[in-house]
Amino acid sequence: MTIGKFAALMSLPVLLALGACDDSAAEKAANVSENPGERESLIATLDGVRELSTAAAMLKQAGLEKALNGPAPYTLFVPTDEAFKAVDADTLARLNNDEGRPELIALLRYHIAPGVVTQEDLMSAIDGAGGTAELANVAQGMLAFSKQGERVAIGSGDQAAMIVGAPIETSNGVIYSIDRLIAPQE
Amino acid sequence: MRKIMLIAASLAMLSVAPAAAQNGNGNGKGNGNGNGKGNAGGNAAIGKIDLSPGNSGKRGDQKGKNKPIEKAAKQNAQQIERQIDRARKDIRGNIDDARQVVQGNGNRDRIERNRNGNRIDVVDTARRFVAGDRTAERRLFDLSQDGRLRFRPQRDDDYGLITGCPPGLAAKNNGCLPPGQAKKIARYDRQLSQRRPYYHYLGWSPRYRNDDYAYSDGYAYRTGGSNNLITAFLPLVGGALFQGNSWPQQYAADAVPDYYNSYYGGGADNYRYADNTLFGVNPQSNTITSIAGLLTGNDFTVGQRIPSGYDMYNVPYGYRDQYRDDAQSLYRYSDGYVYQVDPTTRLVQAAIQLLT
Repeated sequence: MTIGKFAALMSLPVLLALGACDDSAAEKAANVSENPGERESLIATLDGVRELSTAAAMLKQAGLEKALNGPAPYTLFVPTDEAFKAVDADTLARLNNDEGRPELIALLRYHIAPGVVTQEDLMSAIDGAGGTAELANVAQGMLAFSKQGERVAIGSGDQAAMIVGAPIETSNGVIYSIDRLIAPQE
Repeated sequence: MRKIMLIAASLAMLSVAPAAAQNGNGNGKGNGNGNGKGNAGGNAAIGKIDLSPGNSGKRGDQKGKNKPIEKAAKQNAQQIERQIDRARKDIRGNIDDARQVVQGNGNRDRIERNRNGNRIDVVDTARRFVAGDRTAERRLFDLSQDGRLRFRPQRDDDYGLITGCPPGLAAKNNGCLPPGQAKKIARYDRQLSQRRPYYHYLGWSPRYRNDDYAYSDGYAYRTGGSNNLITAFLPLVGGALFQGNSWPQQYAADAVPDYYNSYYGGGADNYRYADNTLFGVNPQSNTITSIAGLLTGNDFTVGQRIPSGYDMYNVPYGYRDQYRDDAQSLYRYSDGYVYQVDPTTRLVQAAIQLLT
């Protein structure tokens, strides 16, 4: 094998990785098909979004690929890579090893709700509920949504996470980008 | 040591039981109720030996006429002590077998082949004592009348907990927890506790907000007593409950209803439920193959108010034309079903399966 071929092969995973995440969330959201049957699944979609790669890797580490690739619908509130920078390195390392997997799954569950909640559904519920609407997650908890100016907050006060940009509709759910992790309720 | 002595006592009581039956009481089952209270069953058998007509004269003799009874009791006590001594000598060998059974390493057949029937009783008794009520399977869900999963309240203190010693920690000299393991758990837990606001795992669920809990190696442990020994354990999703591991033998292996299998993806695996999670399990090997679904665990009961957290329309894409909110009904999706809800009273009107 020539050095040139070897170098080309060695760079393949990098190119594939870059190729897999070559769209921004905004581009993905704008280019989604009108027909849900023609869209990718939640996990496949996440793989193609540049700024959500940390969360995508964590969902796989948590063993949630099958659940999020399956027919059951979920709405995900996915922290951006930037949001994960606020988490200390030791915690991230712990969450990403096998010993920390129960903790990782417990954390991710706070970011997952059953069913399909489109942006229209979300805004309509907030308006209809008098400013704050609640959505059950799969952590036996509740996410409270409210408008803060032009933006939508999850939670309240300093700990609130804000929805960033437009959601991405997939074949089996919706992905919202958020600017920080959702802290479990005390 | 205290635990070993108690085990020995319970073994001795068990071996007395057949003698009690021979004496005519017909009821000497020792501690065969499997509740780990070896002494209670054994004592019951002793009492029946003392008072049975065939052994010591008429029941209800007056004071002064009880000497035969006292003599028989003394002889029985001496006999029991001898049996206890024999059991003590035997227990050290048997406890290793009991450990193997408790740990589920598949050696039980070997034990059965190598020992007589009475010995298997001995091993089983030791298992019940060492591991508490682990022989009883724990069911984690019920079924409603229409076949939907009805979830046990997770906020109950004992939800999912398995009483006794976790695998690998059974029958140590100081209870379930060897000293090294105790230090390890304490250290890990302390490290996690210092990392707020990313609360350690056990702080995330209300049922764990208690100093009695620790976490290590894929299990949550409940500790208690003056020695802080493990009293119960919980296999955690992503830890002991994760692909590649065997389904915990203490959890009932009931597959969830076929509807859930079909809705959440189907395939050759059985789906089983624990901790608001559906797991794919290979029915032949009993090995967990996947996390197939994440559930809310919210109970919707027709005629009752909808649980909180369903302010938003969330029906899956394929059913939006069929089930759209209007003045008469709201529709909300949860855990594989769409629920029809009265918009005024918020009462659930119907549970609708999505695979018809």
